[in-house]
Amino acid sequence: MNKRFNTPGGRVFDAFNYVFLGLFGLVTVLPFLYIIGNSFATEAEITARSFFLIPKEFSMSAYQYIFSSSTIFRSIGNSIFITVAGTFVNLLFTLTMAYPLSRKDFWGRNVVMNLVIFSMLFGGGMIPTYLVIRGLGLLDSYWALILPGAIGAFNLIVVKNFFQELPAGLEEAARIDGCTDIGVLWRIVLPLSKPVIATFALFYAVGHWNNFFSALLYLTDSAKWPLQIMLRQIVLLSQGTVGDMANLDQNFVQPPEQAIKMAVIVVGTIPILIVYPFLQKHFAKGVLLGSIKG
Amino acid sequence: MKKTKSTLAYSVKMVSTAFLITSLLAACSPGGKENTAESESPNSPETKKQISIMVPNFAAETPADNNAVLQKLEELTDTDVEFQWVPSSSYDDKFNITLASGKLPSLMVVLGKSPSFINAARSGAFWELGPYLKDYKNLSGANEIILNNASIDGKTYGIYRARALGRNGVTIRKDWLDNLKLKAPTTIEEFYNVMKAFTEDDPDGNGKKDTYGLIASQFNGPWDIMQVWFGAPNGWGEENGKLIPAHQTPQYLEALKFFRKLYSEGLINKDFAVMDPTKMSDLMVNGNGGVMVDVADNAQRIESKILEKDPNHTDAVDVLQAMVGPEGHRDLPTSGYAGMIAISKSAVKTEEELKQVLTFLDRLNDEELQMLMSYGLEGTHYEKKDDYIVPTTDKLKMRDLNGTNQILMFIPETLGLTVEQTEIRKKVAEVQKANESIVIPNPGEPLISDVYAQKGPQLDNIINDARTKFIVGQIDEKGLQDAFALWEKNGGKEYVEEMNKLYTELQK
Repeated sequence: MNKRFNTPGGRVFDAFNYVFLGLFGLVTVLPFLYIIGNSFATEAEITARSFFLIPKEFSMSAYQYIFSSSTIFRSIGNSIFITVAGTFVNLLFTLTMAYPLSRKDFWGRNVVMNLVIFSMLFGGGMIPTYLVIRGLGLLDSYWALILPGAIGAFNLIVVKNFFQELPAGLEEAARIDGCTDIGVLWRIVLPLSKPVIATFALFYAVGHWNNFFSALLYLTDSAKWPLQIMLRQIVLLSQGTVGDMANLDQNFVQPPEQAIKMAVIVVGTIPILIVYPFLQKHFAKGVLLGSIKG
Repeated sequence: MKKTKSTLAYSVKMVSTAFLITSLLAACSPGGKENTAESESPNSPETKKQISIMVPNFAAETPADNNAVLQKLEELTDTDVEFQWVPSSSYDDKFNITLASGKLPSLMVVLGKSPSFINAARSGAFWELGPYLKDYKNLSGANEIILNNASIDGKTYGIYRARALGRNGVTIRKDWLDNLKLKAPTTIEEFYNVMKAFTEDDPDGNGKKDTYGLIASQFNGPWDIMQVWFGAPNGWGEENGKLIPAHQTPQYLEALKFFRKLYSEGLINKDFAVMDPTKMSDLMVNGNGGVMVDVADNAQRIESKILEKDPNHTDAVDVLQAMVGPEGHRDLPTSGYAGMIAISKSAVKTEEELKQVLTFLDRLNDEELQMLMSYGLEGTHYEKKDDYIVPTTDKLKMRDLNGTNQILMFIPETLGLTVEQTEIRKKVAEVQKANESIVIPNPGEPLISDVYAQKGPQLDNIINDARTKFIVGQIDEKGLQDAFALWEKNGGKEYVEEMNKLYTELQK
């Protein structure tokens, strides 16, 4: 392996790779380090220095402020609940709908597929959707965030195609051994689909985690808001134009301090960072290989 | 074998169809019973009035529902108030969707005369309040000019939230003026000289040429303010009873030529066209630039930031009125209000209920309520001292007040004590008071143009882009005229015609 790159050209190639990838890594990591560094700085220092990674004076006041009330814990809790429950519902419905649709002997599957594709091409828009949610009595309930998007049409099609790729012989073998339909899905198809399940679990979970808009529209009770609403508000507040300031009252409405803004971003990112490594290992391919013998 | 297969196939069909049906049903059926809207069931046993109010919240967190300030509010007004906080960053979306849903809270804070609000008001979603205001102690004192500014087709659909009419001013580094032994400028010419000196004569005394005069940004406000000094009208000028847009006046061009000169001589920060407006005050605090033309109360914010950096650096900023131009002393006013509070017909059904709600709003203008919603409770959120108050520095306690001041209207005026008046605050108040006699009203303000509702942003963009390009020297006067022509072609012509039609109607 080393031999191959021992030519001068190979070394240049190597060096280029290291430099390029190193720079690329830096570009992705630097903003985050900047945010972490700023979150520990004092307000005076942030105003005075334009860019720094390590504050001269270390201050925990931003974190003290954030964690002094239950708001941030509550909103993290809400976010986690919505993400977990939402992803579970997503997977349940997507997998159980994709499987029958992938069976050629399933009666009426073309009609259903066309309905699914129709829903991809035509959406009602914000206000009609809101009226539907209101009509169903889902306002101010977490179901409003979970049920309307329970099945992502695109994801459904990908999962369906994945199921279709599974060798038919496998299923037949299971049937001969006396497996029921549910059994086939549960004991044969799903275990073989771990990579696709992990991938879509992550897609759905990140979608729920990042979603603030439907929470904003459908939940009036601020105690139910997920973290993202708070995060977005904090970040956008400090971007408000001076013109917006003109609308505010003169004495006491001020954008939150920079350090607090940074600290909230840090706190908001940590949970999803913790989850990532655990899901990543499932992305390895090759689970399917070797499942049929002979 | 064959038989097994067919039963299998059959059961696959059955099970999968069942799954599909359940999943479809689940997607369409109300989930859970706990979500029958709580707001509808009256919680209080007695006949306490109930008012729900939708309020933008400019802080990161919303106050707790039962905190001391809100409890006191309910007690003083004898009303059960239900707040629906909405993060300010998404207020427009939430506002529009609430309007579209047809189920409105009793009171809504309206941030501006947006097309959706205008439509809703015209189609009768809100009470027209004009005839009622005179019956209330405070509300009857509303300012006619501001009421007119805030009206739609001359009708009052919301009670305006008053703000300083003459709020704009010039914030300037006083220590730099002192270093250079200059006196505060009063005319445009002196203004130019000061900026020249700020750029070239090393006002901060560090021996480097690292300063400039005017701090500008992407934000258009400063240019709008300064062009009025030169005699350009505020939005719409009037000539022989006809309205003409500001950019079609010769004074506008004069002002632009002045800005262009400032820029070419390096008296404005070079990167202003791409600069984030929130950085403006930091540039002044850090001693990059010396002058900011914006709302006058910026001065006190900048001073407090400078003091935070260096507590001994007092007397660093000063605030001035508009510069005197060729057509005398003129200043751009604000509309005098920051949104309004509208009363919905869907929640407030009868005239009797309307009167109750108006009584509540009227009460909010009492000194006691103004103090409560602005500063909280004495002893908890602030302490009284002589003739001013000292708010607590405890950020946690101040959370109770996040957004509560958004429901205040300050009609007929702001009452009660305020925080201690530093020199600069006093000066700001003086400037804003003095401005009231020199502000130029916008005759087009009460007019609602359909063309503008559709094409307004594009039209404004054409003018603002051309202005920026002209200032930085990317286009010449010819290019500016081309942009004006483009404006006319893209709907500007119909806009002017429509405004004039509305204007003559209003005069009748």
